[in-house]
Amino acid sequence: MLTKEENELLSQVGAGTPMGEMMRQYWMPVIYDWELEPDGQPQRVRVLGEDLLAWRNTSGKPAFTQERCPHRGAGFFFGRNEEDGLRCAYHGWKFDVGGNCVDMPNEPSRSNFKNKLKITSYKAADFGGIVWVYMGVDQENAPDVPQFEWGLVPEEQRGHTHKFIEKCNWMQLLEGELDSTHVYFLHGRLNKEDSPKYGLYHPGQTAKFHIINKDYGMMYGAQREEEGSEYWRVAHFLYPIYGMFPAVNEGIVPLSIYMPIDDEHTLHFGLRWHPNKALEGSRRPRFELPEEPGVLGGPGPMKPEQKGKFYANWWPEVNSETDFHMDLGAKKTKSFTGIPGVRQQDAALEWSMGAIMDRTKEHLGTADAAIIKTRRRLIAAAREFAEIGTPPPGSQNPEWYTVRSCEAVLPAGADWQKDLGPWLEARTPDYPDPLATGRSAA
Amino acid sequence: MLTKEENELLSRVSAGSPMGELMRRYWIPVNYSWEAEPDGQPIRVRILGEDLLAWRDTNGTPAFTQERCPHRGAGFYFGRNQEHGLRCAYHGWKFDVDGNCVDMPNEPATSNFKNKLKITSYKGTDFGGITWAYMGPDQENPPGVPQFEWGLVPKEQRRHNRRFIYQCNWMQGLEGELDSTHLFFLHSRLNPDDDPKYGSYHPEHAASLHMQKTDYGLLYGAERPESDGSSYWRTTHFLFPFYGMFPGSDNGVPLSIYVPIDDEYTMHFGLQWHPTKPVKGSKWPIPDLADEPGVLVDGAGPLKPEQKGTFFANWWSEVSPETDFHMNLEAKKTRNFTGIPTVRQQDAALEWSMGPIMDRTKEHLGTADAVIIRARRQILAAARALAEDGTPPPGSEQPELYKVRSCTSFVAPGVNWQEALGDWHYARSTEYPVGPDSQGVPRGNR
Repeated sequence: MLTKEENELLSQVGAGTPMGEMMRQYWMPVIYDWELEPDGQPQRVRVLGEDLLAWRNTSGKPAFTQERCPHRGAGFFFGRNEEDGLRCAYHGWKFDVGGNCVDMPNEPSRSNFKNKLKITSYKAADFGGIVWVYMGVDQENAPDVPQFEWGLVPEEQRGHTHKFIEKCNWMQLLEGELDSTHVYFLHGRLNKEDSPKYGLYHPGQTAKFHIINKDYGMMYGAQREEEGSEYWRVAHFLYPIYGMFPAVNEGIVPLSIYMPIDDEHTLHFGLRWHPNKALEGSRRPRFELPEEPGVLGGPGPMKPEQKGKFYANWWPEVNSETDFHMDLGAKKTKSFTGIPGVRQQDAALEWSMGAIMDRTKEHLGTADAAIIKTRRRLIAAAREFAEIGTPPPGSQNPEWYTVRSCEAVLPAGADWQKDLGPWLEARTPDYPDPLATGRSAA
Repeated sequence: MLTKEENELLSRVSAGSPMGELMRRYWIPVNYSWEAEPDGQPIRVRILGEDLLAWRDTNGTPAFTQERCPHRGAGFYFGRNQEHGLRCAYHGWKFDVDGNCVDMPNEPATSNFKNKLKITSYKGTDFGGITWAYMGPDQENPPGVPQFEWGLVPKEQRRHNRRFIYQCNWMQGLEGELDSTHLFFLHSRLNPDDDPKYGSYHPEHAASLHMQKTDYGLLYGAERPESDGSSYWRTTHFLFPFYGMFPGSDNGVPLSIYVPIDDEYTMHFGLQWHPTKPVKGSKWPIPDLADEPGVLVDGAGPLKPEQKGTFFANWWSEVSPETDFHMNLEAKKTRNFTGIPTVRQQDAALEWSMGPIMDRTKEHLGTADAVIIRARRQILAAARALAEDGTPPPGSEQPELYKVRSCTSFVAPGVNWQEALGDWHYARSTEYPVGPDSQGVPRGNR
């Protein structure tokens, strides 16, 4: 349980709030790189409560600039992106990716007004198929983008599996990512003899948690007893918005990102990669739902372009207005919820907590230890940054982000950190226990 | 006219407000009994500003429990209702109809956390085809459910003809119910010689109002002179806290219910019954509108498709402000006063148009509004008496007081209306008093 003040500190990300300022010390992943074409139509985005336009200039350089023209406040969205700059559709004022006014054609040519005018423009970078923005105060000395392994491997070895807007605060989503015991309820199938396509199954509904503080955040191992051995699921939290749940399938590592759009909306990216093998199948999100109710699939279709809104193409059809496509027949016979995708099952529960969850009313148990720890670390980092300016964990150390997660079956009494360390720290491409693959589903 | 304070007191119904506390001393009708099935999907409801789930356990016992799981605040709606309890879909915590935590499978078996945890749970019961909730402070000793006659007669003798969500405060709905003189305007046909299917008609637009305070609320008679020297009476009850029983006939006695969903939404139920005879037609609401514009129907018209994610998802009316209540301008020109296709939507159009919470500091009441003024005063006084001295509000502990009826009748010159109609009003006889005719159509209609 948190106090009201702690809950607000944790949830609010606008400029000037402690968490908002802390977030601005990190690069934020915003949009797939293929969504922005050189000289293409700018895209409406909102990051940490700020409305921006994302675009690429003629030479392909990405830009994040303020949404409205400084002249009379008209939206740049309707403007023209051409010849190394974005020109407002109203009076033709033009700005480059650095925010400099490079043309003011409706003023006398002798005017030097344009030389004095700058718009808000944030540093941008392409990495791992995503365009990132850095909104920190010191734009001249931005750190490097976090060196996640998926951005370092060849493109064939990574897949962007999903991306959609979640209608709630970022932190309740990240908490779900770090919550090991919900897996065999929310994502469970009803009959263990059934195919895993209907959901997961494990007889151990409780787990023993081993939580390890890390420079980049936190690592935990969830230990479940089996006959003569132990089944381990190892996950990471990486500051400030990353959850790396246990890898499956012989070394395919997943990552979930919860980028705060504002206090009540979050952009959820899901991706995965393999350290040395090309991935099979589509490497971009797919939108089909399985035909058979109860079978798990991806996030399902997106709504038609929601013109006028931020991230107009990423509003999911499966959402609270459809009860997340809950199928009462499948709920009775096949899966715990009848909701057709793992991520939508998460969303149903996480959105149902309200736009900003009221943590003064919760009742946490021992199974929530990883969540409690993560909150404490985040709150402490935000306070330290606000009070004495300590750079928050990992913000200046992009190399710390080269880590992996896994699941493994180890002999009873084994030292899990030692045995799994080479994989977890990306020192070897060999998955520690290929036999554990699919354990969670079996 | 009310002061701002009085208006707030009258309108606001959430927990802790005087009117909200008054309402919580009564059983509240919430859903039709057939909606929640044993072990079926829970239904989102909101009552007096509280979001709850309505469900039935394996035995069929009705439950009203808090919307969100106490663990991490996830909605129970997506949970599983099975084996005598509702299990949260997130981590499997399970609660019974009384709110006790009966399973917490993601915590170690040695933990006694679950024995210490309870969720908000309100008593539920079934009566008269409706599932009721009691949200009062003493959950161990709730009073009896109000013994309306419609809950006591065989089910063939009652009919649930309407139900839909009002997008305005409850009191605007109830005031409309107690308002006799709007009848021959809002609900009227344009030509006296036309068929009554287009609307009501009476040459006398004004009426003399006779009011009697009762233990359960208020009885009033609206008297209109007839050409033969007799009087045409329409009698109506207001029963605490939100029931209006407008004039019945030998065809049946009607009741309108205005359950406050919150300060700005109201659940309207309409039903009718007969003390001895089966009532005709469907026993449940039918969504039809008349084919011919201007012809009124008895129900509430079509409902929107299930409004997933919202409370009472199946009871949002298609005939609503977004459609101008299906006002038909041709029918308005030639057939009836408004061109709106049902009596209840005519009411809704006007009552919703006052705004979500009517500002009663700006109204101008006349003599025709005497009943509304009186009912407000009684309700305000009862809310204050409960808040100040803990006086139980009228009828809240006397369910038997609710066995009353209303009527439409002719009373001979010189005869006291209450004596002439008393046996019917208080259900001492099943004999209908002297009526205009078996259809309850006043003379003015002919």
